[in-house]
Amino acid sequence: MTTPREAQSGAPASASRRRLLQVGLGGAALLGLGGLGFWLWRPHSARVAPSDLKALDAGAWQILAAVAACICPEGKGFPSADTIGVASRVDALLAGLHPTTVSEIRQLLGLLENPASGLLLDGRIGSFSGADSETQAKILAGWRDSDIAVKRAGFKALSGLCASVYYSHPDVYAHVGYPGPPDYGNVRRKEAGAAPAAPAGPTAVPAEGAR
Amino acid sequence: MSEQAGTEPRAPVQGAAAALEGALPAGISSAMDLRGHVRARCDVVVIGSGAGGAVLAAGLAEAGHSVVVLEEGGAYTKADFDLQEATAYPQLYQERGTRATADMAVTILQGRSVGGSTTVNWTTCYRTPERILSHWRQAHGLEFSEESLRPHFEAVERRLSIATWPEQNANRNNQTLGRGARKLGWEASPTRRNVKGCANSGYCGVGCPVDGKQAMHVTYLRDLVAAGGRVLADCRVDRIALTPDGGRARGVEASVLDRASGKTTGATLTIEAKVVVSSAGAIHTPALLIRSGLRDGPVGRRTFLHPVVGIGGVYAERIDGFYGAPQSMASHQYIDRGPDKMGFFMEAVPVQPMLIAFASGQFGAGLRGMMAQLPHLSVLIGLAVDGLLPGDEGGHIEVEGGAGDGGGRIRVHYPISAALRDAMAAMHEALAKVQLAAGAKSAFSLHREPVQLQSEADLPALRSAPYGALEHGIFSAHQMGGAAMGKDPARAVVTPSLRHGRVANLFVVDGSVLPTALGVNPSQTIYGLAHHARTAVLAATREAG
Repeated sequence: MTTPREAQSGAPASASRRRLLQVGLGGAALLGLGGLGFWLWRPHSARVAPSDLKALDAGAWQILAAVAACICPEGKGFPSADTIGVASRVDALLAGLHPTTVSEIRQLLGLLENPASGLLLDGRIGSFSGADSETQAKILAGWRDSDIAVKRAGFKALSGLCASVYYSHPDVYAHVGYPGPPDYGNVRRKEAGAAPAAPAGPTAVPAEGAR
Repeated sequence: MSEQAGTEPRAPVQGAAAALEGALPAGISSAMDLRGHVRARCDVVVIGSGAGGAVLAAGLAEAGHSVVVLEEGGAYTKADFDLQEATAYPQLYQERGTRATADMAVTILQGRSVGGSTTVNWTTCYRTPERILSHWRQAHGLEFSEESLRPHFEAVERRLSIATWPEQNANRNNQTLGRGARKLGWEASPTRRNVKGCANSGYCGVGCPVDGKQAMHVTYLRDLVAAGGRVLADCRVDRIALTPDGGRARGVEASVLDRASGKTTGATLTIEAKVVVSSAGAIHTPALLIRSGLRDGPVGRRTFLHPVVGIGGVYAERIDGFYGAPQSMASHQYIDRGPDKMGFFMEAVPVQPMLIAFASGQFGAGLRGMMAQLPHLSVLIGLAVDGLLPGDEGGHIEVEGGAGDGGGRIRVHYPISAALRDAMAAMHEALAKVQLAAGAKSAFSLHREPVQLQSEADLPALRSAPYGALEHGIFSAHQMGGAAMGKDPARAVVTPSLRHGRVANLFVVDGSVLPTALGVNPSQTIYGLAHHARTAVLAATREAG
């Protein structure tokens, strides 16, 4: 996927790292390692996967739930990612994506979990889901800052999915000081508890004010 | 669809009702009710119901032609919009709100429903600037001028109630942009918006709850339906069907999608048409042309994104940037940074929790701490103007799995050039200055490790931060190019009339015809070009009739 143009555009000092980064999420052979690990290992998780998963299988869901707990930790009054159901909500979202993308996400989770790739890529012993939360946070930060494209892109994909799902849940709104959307009285379909009072913020501007 | 092979379109049938009777429902409807293989015939089939397709289709229907608009997304009304980001992004955006470049470096927000991106855009409207038209005349052989486009812009401005949004109505997030820029001695002006009876809610990006936004589904698509045209949602065009010699389009072949799962239902459509128009946007139109074997010219190349970076500001007072028109002030102070530099412009965004949590790139306690300040956050963006510098070829579109099947994954590749890296550094600095000048207690970048600034004395840290793919958040809400218009067939996919260079009864009417980025939000340029294209498409329809 690296074009000559891309290769030329990197500053000389960081050219080799940039070349690595340009491999991209889908093009990395490393993902295959994740797929392999995925089949050989069972996550160390006390979490029980729901039986009605739509895109992931139980093992991948358990790894994702561990990632979600790390991206969106409980504390300071914030609910846990498990309480919000982040992993299952991400699973539902993934079900609407292209099958190739879903397969890449599964491989990514396998790569993160797999002790063999962990040792090889991160120099750590043991699986992701079996690590304590401090170690998990270090592993994820290591992925975010990695010189290996698939890890940096993988961190963005997994953290973005989890953070988006968590912070868009109405049960989190009060903790971030968001009163939620006002009710215009014309909504057919509304999640329970998702109808806060009208905001104290800017209110209606007369139509003609816009002219 | 094999039964169609080799047959020629039958003699034209007069009038919309006669052509389509018994085949497709009237008005705006979902294809999900269709079973088996459905065949229909019309004068013009338009692929996509957004800014380009809707404006064009309405004009053709009003001129008496039978028009069918096919839309892969769902059909919604304001009653469907619960204003929850968790509902809206999966429902109204491409790839359920997760679209990105193949390397994950650029997050791409692009609409996917009846109305296209106009259903979810932030309403900012500009006529194509003269400096861009002048560049197009010099570098791309196009003869558009402010004067030649004026009647088209005036027409769409009337229909869409495009007018300047009074500055006193700007929310506090947009006020920070105006105040900060002017304090620095920089230009800042209120934007024009396509709204009528706007409630100033702030929810443009998740579907307007009061139909204040004059999006396509409440304007031109209503005109289309009033004139007898049809919109069929949940219907993905897999390919444009061509005559055996490849010289003419016979129509389209499409698959019905299940809205919930996004998968095909098994039902298929063949629509025969005198004229085919692709208005599927700057990512899907090139992909469709490639899938249809139409690789003439630079199709799928020179894709431009107006790459966006952001800077947050933390204020002592409440900003409440989740409410109020999300984008109502802009600064074009740095639109021209000199001959070898990529220019940029600055705007604001809705400071709503999902968008901000995602954009921050942070996780764990750091993300939680930032999010806990949400009511006190301002977030401003810079948009880089790509495609103007010599050698800036932007990105390209790839369809995985080859041609034919509509199910191949579409990939956007967008390398970050040295000029863009320089522009991203300059945007960070300018935005940080604006936040600090506007009175922010602190400003922060969206780097992997955010750069924190308490004053301009901290700018050197921002200058020395890394810029590039996956170093910090990069976004795109404006997709342009990939099927450029122009006079030279080697450098263009369509003519200045938006007619395909080789297939005489095929047109492209959407943002993919733009030969460069615009330096302003692109919706009105697309409306205007679609209005301009009405004449040529009408003529082609009559010729074929």
